Amino acid sequence: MDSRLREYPTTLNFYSIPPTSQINLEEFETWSLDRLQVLIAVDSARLRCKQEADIYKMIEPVLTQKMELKANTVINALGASLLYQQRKKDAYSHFFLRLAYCKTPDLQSWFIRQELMLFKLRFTNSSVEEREWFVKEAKLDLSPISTDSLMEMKYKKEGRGESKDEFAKKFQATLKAVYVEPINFYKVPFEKVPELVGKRQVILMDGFAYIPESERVLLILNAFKDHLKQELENTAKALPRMDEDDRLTPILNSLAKQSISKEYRISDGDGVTADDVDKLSIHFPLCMKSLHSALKRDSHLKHMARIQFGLFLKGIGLSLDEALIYWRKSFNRMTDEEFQKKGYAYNIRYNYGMEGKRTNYTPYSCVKIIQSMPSSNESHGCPFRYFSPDALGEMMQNMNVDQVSINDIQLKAREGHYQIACTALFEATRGKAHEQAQQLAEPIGHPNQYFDYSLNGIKKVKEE
Amino acid sequence: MTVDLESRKKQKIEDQDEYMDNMDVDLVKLEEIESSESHDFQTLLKLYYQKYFPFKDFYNWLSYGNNSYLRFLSFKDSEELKAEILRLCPIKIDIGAIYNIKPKDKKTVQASAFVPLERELVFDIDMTDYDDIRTCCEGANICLKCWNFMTVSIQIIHRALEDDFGFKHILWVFSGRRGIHCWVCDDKARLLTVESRKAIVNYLELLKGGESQARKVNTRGSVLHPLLEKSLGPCATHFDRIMLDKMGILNSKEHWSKLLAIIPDESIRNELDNEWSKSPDTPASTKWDMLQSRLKGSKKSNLEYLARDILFQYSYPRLDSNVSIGLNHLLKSPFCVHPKTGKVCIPINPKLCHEFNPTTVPTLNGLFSDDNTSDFLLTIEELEEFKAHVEYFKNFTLRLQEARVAKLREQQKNSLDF
Ligand code: SF4
Ligand SMILES: [Zn+2]
Repeated sequence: MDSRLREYPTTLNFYSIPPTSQINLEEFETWSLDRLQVLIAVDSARLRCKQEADIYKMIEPVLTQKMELKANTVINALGASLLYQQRKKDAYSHFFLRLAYCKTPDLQSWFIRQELMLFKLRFTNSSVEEREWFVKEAKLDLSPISTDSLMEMKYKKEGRGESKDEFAKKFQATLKAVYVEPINFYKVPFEKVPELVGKRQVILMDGFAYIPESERVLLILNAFKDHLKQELENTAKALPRMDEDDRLTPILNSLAKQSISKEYRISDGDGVTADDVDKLSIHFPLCMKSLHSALKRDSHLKHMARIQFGLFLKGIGLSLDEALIYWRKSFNRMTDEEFQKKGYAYNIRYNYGMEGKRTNYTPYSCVKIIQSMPSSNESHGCPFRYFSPDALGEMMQNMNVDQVSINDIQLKAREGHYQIACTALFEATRGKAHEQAQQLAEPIGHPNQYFDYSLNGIKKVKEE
Repeated sequence: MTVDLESRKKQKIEDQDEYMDNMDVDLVKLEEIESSESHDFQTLLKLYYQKYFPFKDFYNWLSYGNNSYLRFLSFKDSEELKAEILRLCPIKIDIGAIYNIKPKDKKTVQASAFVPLERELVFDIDMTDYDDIRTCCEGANICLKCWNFMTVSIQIIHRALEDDFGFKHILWVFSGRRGIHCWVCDDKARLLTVESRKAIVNYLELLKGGESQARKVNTRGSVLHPLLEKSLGPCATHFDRIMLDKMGILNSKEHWSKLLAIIPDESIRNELDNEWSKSPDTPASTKWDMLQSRLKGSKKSNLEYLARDILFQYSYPRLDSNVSIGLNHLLKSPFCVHPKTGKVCIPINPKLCHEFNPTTVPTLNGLFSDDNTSDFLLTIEELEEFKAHVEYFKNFTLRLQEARVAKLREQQKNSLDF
């Protein structure tokens, strides 16, 4: 093998050896951003697909574009140097992102989730030789236990008053009932493989699960995850020293912000359908309520309003497919053809990072919404800033807010405290019985936060 | 520890503020005395705490070697704990999780910041979950016949916890009325994540589906998973002796129709029903044999092992999975007195669980009744009805302590080696 490939013998990397060579700031930034795009693609693909194969299909174009890794089999055709470059970029970018994503538990767990999935996808899509090589290189202690020795162990523990042969025969039958392919086994603490335990697809003995060869990948993934977790903690501890490099700090901070907006993370997207939107609108903050009613009234929303409302809906868990249905239904004065031609579907897919720059856009925060400048025939923006006091008052009256609160909220809005006004409205409409209302120690910072608080509070009240 | 000391009237008393400084007690006292009976109850309860409650072992258990702290209760020793309990005379002592923040400070932080760190792995098995199959009693009532469900459950769950999961410190306790609690106290068990707890519960649970679903067990193939293989023996014995014989689940149409409803094949169902109706006095075991051979004889694959599944459905343990999975559930402490029955929640030695009789466990009234005045001079270890249970509990705490010491030694040895 080419000597340069000794550093990266396979496309699979356990990321144990940090970068050793110098790299300039620009490369640092572009490589990091490229990897981030891949991870964001992984994240959004996971929200949309159940099957791993589909996730892989969905992220493959992004991988090819941003972080391609060619296998050793094409070394002669492409040359070792290209392979080395690809693998170096993969390794370095991983370590760079560790710096950005080690800072908070939220960032860490996001990063681990995506990296683990990426690794898993690469692992399952690599060749057998590559996998074996990797396992050897990573020095994972994975010595299998043969069927016979497992039987011996079991016999020692349980064999009473029956011959070993008899016992072995029965045990073989048990193995066949529990495992698909009972040949080699790996011993792991049972809590490492909760799914297999929960489904009784393993034999348990004294706190250890004996998992079959076919599930060995779980061990490798576990090791990968544990290792990464540990490394992120270590990086977090070491980071204060690195912070002295002032050129790096802003880059790292902006990298960390790209996947997770500061105050709000997109919910896991389970279950909100196009038909749920109307029902859920009682939990919308005023900015979204007014867009929702404008859409109902006009069967249309202008560009900026579509983005503001569309991303918000994405945030509450409306999947891409459901979003397409919801918007198509809402634009009900339009033919299918018109809807397509005017690019509305494209817009929606764009919001979900499936078109154009393929960025997984996150819902707008209050600051961003408040700053946007709607013209007189547009309806986006924050009502507390752009609505006249009368219009605001009328809207609140329709929501059955008492007059004292209305005056108070109008005053706050007039003084420019839009988010405080919004918070006051939340409290006035949710009432003191609403547990979350009392928890708003800080003003609303994000429309999706408003939504979450409102919805979760209701859930809580109902449960009791 | 979340110790929840509560009375029948859920009303907080004023003087608890200082007490709540370092622990989470949802402490409520008997405000209104409804009748002279409950007045007696309170007096006797105080006497019981004073004379019998095994504070020392209790303290040894829950402090897990961390002397001076009983979870969030800061008690220097068992004497202090005793003094406090005597002062408050709580009608109920409930034990919860250990949290990252003193429960008392809970209200000063976001709800999400208040997280349980440690919690025994617990199981709760309640007789009400068997109401659809027991023919002897209903609701809160129990008798020796249906108590056998609990005995089988202890046998099966205890074996699995020990042999399969490798746990060593398992405590079974009578819940005071119609069920049992299990506390798994190994270090590893107390630190299990919710995910791991869920895995354990799923592993142990066999019955699936709600009321509307007649067939709740569906095992496939002739060979069972070792867990079920090992459970089949106790279940079969229970089924034969208790369900068929003592409870007579096949003796009257009313009962056997319930069982037959599990069979999805209408013709087989009707055939058996007709035949049994013709001669209802046929012994239950003969009827069961008929059912078995009729199902085996059918060529349909989903019927081949149905008889075995029915047997499981009528005898396999039924867990309240929520109690085991979450870390927040409170469970009544061993040795407290059940406020409704007056029975003491005594530990049950799993090796002797078949001898346990829930109808004769010591009650508050019994302990202090006039016939027992001579006993009043005895300590709890000397009282005949308590003796074995107290000893078992003491041994349990001693073994915990031994394991702790051994672990400490191991750690010291390792640190010397380096
Ligand atoms: S303050 Fe924020 S959430 Fe409230 S209306 Fe304005 S933008 Fe919407
Ligand atoms: Zn009964």
